[in-house]
Amino acid sequence: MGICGKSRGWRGGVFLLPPRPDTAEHPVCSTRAPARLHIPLAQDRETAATPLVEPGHTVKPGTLLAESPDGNGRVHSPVAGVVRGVIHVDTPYRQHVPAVQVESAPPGQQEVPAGVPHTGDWPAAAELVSLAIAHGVILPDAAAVARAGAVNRIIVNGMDTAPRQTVNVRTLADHVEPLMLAAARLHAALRAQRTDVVVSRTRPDLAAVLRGLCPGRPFRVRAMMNRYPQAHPHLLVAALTGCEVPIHGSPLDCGAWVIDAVTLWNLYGAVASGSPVAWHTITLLGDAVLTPGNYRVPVGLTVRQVVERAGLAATPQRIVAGGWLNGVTVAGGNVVLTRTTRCLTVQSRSGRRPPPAACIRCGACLEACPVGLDPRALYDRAEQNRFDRAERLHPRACLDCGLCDYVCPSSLPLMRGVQWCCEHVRSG
Amino acid sequence: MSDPADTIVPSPAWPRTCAADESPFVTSGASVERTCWLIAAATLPVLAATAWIFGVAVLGQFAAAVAGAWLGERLCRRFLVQGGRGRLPHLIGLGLLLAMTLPPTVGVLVPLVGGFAALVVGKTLLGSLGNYLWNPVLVGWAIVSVVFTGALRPAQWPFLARDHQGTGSLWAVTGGPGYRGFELSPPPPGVEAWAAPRPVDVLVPQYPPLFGGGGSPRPLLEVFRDRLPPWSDTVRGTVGGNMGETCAIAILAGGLCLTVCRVARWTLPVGALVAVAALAAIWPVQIDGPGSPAVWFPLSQVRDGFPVGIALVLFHLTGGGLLTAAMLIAPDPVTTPLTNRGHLWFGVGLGVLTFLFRVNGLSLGAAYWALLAMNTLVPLIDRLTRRRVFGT
Ligand code: SF4
Ligand code: SF4
Repeated sequence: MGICGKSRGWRGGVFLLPPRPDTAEHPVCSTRAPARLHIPLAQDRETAATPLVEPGHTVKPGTLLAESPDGNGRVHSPVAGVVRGVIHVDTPYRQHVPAVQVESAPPGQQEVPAGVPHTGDWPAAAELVSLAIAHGVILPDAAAVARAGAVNRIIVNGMDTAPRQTVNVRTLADHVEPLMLAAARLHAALRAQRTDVVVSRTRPDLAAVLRGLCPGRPFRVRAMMNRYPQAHPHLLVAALTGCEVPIHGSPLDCGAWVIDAVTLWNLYGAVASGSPVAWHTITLLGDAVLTPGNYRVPVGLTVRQVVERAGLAATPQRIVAGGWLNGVTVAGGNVVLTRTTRCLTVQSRSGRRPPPAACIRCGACLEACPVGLDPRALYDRAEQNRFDRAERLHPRACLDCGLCDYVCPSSLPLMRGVQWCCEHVRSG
Repeated sequence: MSDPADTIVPSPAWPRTCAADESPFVTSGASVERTCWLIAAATLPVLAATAWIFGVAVLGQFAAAVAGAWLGERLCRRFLVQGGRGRLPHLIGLGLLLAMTLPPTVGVLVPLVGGFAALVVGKTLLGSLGNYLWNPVLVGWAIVSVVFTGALRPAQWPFLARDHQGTGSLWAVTGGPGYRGFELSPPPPGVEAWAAPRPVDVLVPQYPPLFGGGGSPRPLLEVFRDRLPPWSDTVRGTVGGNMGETCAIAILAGGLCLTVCRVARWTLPVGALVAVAALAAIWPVQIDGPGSPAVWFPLSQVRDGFPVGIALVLFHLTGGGLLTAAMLIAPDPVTTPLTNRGHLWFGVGLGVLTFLFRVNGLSLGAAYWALLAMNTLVPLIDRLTRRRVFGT
């Protein structure tokens, strides 16, 4: 509210309904690898990694399959098996992505990777970051973190960015002990002043368990109101430190580094047992899914392979990858999921929005926007292709949260308008 | 198990392609139609109260206004613009709100013309839903108040007397020095309605005119004791006034609904009421009749044990069109600012202008003219109340 001031470091946002069914109720369900996988060599829009294997090569879990020219994007095999070749697949975010096709060995021959367990202190920042990259862990702001002393405050994010997605909270709940150990080690390795572990206030039992582990450790547990999109790193920093991340900056500009529970778990795996990231956890939702919940699946499964692990209750009509407010639809069951896909909703109905109408100036988008943008003005600019003065409206502050679309009574595609302005401001 | 090589044989449960929509895949449920229906529905308490206070026959005038708006809509659809969402609820709301700003004895022609003008001029010609600068209801009202000057300023303001509510006739009326308030005054035989002045019309001459013009003040105590019914009558609605202005309770109920449904924002009416109350509490007024000096801060004045200052403020709040304007007419989102803070300033401006218009002798429709003036300032308010972008 405008006149109540900003009590949580940012204004706007909306309380969305709590998840029903609550996919965080049950532990992550592990699954077996299917007979054939297609491991995509690019997650999002970046250049695809170059394959390092030839057809006929035998691979083991953790074998390096591809590496990007700059050495940052590394792709590992999740299973033991034989490489069949490199084909092109569609991912939710991009079409025609090269992928390594692996025929996996029968379950009996899937030996567990024999990593060397590492229980001591973690290496210092620079070494830790290169270790993470070598194991395919995607760290936010990796280059900046590698500089000693860049991180003053670590924020471990146990909340999920998308509504009803529960990957982070469930990963945290499943591995409380090792994750808290990892947080303590990370704190020491980066020489941080403070570490906060953030969970939603709607999960008091998890907060209690975490608080029980606090004594003798250098971090504090913060239970926060989960007002969407509070879990966005910029807003977490604002709420916890009172510092606003500059428009072109990252949380590190405020001395804070936000790492979510899943990434911390991957990092822990890389450092403590030397296992690279080749499996990922995904929340399966929607009325066409028989048993919604969190599933641990190997990288390189198609939507259909993933959904069939949870059972299909009805013919899927609409499949959404990512959040309900800002995700994308998936063209069909043969789309291959990348490991950045954390949430998949399969619906047996595809409800249509009414056609866009003229803006009625209700102001809902302005009040809901967590960063104080004027989405309707930016949308107008995009609509009329007038970007000359769009820069002054700071479109690049947009967090792509989709709340403006969510609240608009005229069903205007506001977020797309803002993004469009963003692109023009950047290039122009 | 399937893989991309299987695409030629789709299994029965998996369609070849799924719907390709754009986000969001869930919405808050807000829609243009919902907003327009709610604004129309918020007049229902006032409609009920009006039927009770002025007789069910006046509902015909509401129907005439809606019919006028409907005719205008047909015409515009035919010759001017096609398309647009929420047209039906919008025209209904327009008609009902327009009729609320007219006297109960106005007949059917004025609301018919008013509804038509509101839709054709106020809405369509000035830019259609989303673009008009002035509230179309008030544009329609302004047009009829210029065209039918006499009809909007009747000689007397009747309302039904006790025991005749709902069914009585406004024409079997007696004018009233005998009227002591709803509870105290049963009607004389053969009379079904009382006529009493609008409370604000009575208060306006008490203020020393700023820009010439002559007030003819009486002692305030006499005004409250003899010329006005008790204040509770303005809450119940049994006072003289336009159809939608008298019953404060019904207006509040409608306005509250709009606020709870998040169509209106509470900051606007609160700003308006606080501004009017504050100004009425401090503005100099001639309390003791002709020749007496104007007293600043009338709020604390007591005469003969009667708190005239407090009564003055209360009548300012409920005795004219202010509540209707701030709670039911203003919430048209198109003609209000975008942010909560903007709404607050809009409300304050509305209250200040209403009060200034009143003390300068414009008692009828002061709040409506003030609202039109504030509508004009909306682009400015929007500019001044822009939110700071995070991280700048
Ligand atoms: S998508 Fe961007 S513009 Fe829209 S509410 Fe979120 S941050 Fe604001
Ligand atoms: S939410 Fe939609 S209708 Fe309301 S002001 Fe924003 S763009 Fe306009």
